[in-house]
Amino acid sequence: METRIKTVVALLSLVLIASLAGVSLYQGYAGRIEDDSTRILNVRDEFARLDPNGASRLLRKIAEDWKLAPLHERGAIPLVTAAGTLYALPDDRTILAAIIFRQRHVLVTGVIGLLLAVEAAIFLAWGLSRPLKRLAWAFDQIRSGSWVTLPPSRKQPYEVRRLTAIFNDMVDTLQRWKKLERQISRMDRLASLGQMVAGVSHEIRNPLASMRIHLDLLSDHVSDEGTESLRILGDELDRLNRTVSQLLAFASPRPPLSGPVAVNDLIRWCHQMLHASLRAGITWDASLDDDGLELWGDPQQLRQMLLNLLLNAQEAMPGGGAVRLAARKDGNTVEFRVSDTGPGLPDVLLERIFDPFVTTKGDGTGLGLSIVHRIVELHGGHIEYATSPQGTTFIVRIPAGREETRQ
Amino acid sequence: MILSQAVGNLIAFGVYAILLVVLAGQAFTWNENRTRFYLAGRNLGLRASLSTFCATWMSAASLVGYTLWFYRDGYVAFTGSVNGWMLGLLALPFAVIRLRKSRALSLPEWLASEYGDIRLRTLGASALLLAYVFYIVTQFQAFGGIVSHMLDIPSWVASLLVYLFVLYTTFGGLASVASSDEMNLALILIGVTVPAAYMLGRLGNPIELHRSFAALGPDLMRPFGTERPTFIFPMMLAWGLGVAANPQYAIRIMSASSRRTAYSMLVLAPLIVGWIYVCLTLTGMGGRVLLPSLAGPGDDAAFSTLITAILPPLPAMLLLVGVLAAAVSTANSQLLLAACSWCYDLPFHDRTLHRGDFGSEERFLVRNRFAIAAIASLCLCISQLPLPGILRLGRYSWTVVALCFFLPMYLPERYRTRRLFPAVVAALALHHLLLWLFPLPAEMTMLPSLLLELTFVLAGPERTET
Repeated sequence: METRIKTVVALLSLVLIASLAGVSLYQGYAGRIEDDSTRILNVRDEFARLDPNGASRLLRKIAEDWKLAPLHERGAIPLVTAAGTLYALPDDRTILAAIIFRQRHVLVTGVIGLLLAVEAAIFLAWGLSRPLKRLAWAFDQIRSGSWVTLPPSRKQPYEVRRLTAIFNDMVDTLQRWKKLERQISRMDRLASLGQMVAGVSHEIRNPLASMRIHLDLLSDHVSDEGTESLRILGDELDRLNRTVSQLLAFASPRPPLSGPVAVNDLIRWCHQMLHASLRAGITWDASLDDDGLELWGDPQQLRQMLLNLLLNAQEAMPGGGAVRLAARKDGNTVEFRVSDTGPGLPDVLLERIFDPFVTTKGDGTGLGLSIVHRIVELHGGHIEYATSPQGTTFIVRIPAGREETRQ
Repeated sequence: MILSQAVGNLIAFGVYAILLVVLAGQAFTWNENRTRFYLAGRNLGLRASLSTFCATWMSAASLVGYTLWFYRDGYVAFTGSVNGWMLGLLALPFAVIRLRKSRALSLPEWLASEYGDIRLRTLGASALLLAYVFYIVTQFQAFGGIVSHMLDIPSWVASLLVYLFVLYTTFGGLASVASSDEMNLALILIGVTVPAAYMLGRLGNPIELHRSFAALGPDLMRPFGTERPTFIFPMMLAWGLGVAANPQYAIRIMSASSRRTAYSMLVLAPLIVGWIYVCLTLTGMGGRVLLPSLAGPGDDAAFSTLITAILPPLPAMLLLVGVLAAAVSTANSQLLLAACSWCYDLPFHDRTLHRGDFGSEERFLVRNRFAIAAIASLCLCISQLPLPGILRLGRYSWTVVALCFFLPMYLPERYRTRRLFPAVVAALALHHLLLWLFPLPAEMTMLPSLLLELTFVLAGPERTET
């Protein structure tokens, strides 16, 4: 675009400059010939007394760039001399050169004008192509997977504003479609996973229960050396059992047994649970709510939700940091904020963080956040997160009253 | 002045302007970024690299200054300037590997990353900005002076012409500068070759011309002229160091598409630059033979008198266009580096590239263009002031650049851990103190300052920061 605009502007400027210079030079030339002719004709009679050399000298004195010729040519002035008729002719080349030199300022100004016009054309082209460039950049960003919108500006021309608005609408629609597609896909996957997990868990749970009973029976007949091994075996069985229970809870969630829940009770419970298992280098801070907030929900599920988030926060900071839990009333909802000062969530997981079996920990089940998400959904709430290299904050909003929960 | 020559010069200006508009590069390319703007995407091929290297080398001040110096004082001009410059060129291959190893976009940035001291970047950029502002002023002055005499137009109008040519080619960054430099180098080569050929055609072969020149006086033939070697030798050395440390050439090494291209450029450049000097020598020599005495109020007036007196209209016009091309090619390169120092190296602006923000890079590059326009306008204004003279300003710029960059660029690897900042500051301080205290040329005060810098580096402590 720039080359085209530059070419058009340069050509227009050249034509304009050439026309102006041409007219100016022509006028200068015609004026000079007319002045010289008038001067020559005024002293015409004096040539009659002169020989050709004298006539030539007189002619040069009157009109510098004229010469005498024996033959008639177009535009020549006949002069009768003592040796016969001679013709005064202008030396066009010399006269033109003199006029060009006299009007050099016009020509130099023309060159300056041409350069200024071309430089203005460059910025004009930049101004015109900039919105297109911005749009191309935005499309490229979307192609590479990051959602961007273009900020509208009142300074932009109407056409560009309209284009920007259409683009932003398109991005919005695409985002909603994408979200819907993800939800459908997630639900499909969850349904099939649920079926499979439920079946497998049942099959595992029964033998586990039987193993636990027999292990307890066995402990009475084992010598002191074997007691420690039996204890480890028992712990591992319990851990396995808990995992299976989690899987079952995830696969076949029970509806919440809702009732009034005091937010401060939840926070105190979390404090007791977390304070005991806090790792070295991690500080824990929970602020109690001063207004005695209550919400309508299943206390057991809400505890599990908060504990999962807090444990997750703790595990996100292997090198130590701070975990914080806060609650406040936000309109008709109660907002819980669980934050850590860890390195943030990896980019690749951002879209799938609530999907089951998605984990960054080597020994994690990847069910913690899925269960949180499920509990929030069952309570009619909403969960979101903000992550950066300075830390991650999960924000859970649960409707405060019965009505909102139903809705 | 011969009328047809003035008309020819006017037409030549017009043709040069049109050629530049048609052939010079695009200003706002579609996929531009700072690497493309400053270093042409590190993708300049051999032809482009060689053209821009040689065209940048030949400034209007060099063309005019060297020819006149040779005309007036004979071979001492060759000893004092060309020898020194070529000496500097010999050093440049040693900097290729270390310059290209870095991903820095400017020489001050390279300096800071190489020596682990951010202050060096600020210092280098400030020195570069100051030095190049003065040097661009000399280009505007040199050209403005000559053209105002040749066309009988005000000097500021002629300088304004160069200003506009320079702006036009610099707005597109190094790629645009390089593409205009291909044309400029061709014009410089034609501009110096035709007058030299005319001299040979008129005065015989080079040997006969040399004999005629020698017959004009024995001083013209002495390698140190009427000066003492102790005066000429430091000058030669200082100019050589200035060339070796000149960021213009460092940037051309960094922007070459490969190491091989950079080496080839440095091998071939002396042939082209050497040819230009040979042609200018023949013109200066022939000029002295044809016109043994020359009077003029300054170098630029003397040069225009000389070429109009000794050359027919066509060679004189071509030489004038060559001077214009040399002024544009040097000034645009320096202007780009000055803008880079201002916008990228000096810590007054946000130079961070925010990859997710379209406006971030664009704003940065637009700011560069405003800086280009502002610096060029400032230089244009300064060029209209009464200044100490082209040569003195050029010498000052050259030496400041040499003090900031020569040692850092060529210090052996084992001294890379030394503290460089205090050494450079001390050298610059001594240089300016000597210049202020004694009426000595900048080259003379530069050498002790450089020695002081070297002493500081060698005797100074290792830097503690990593």
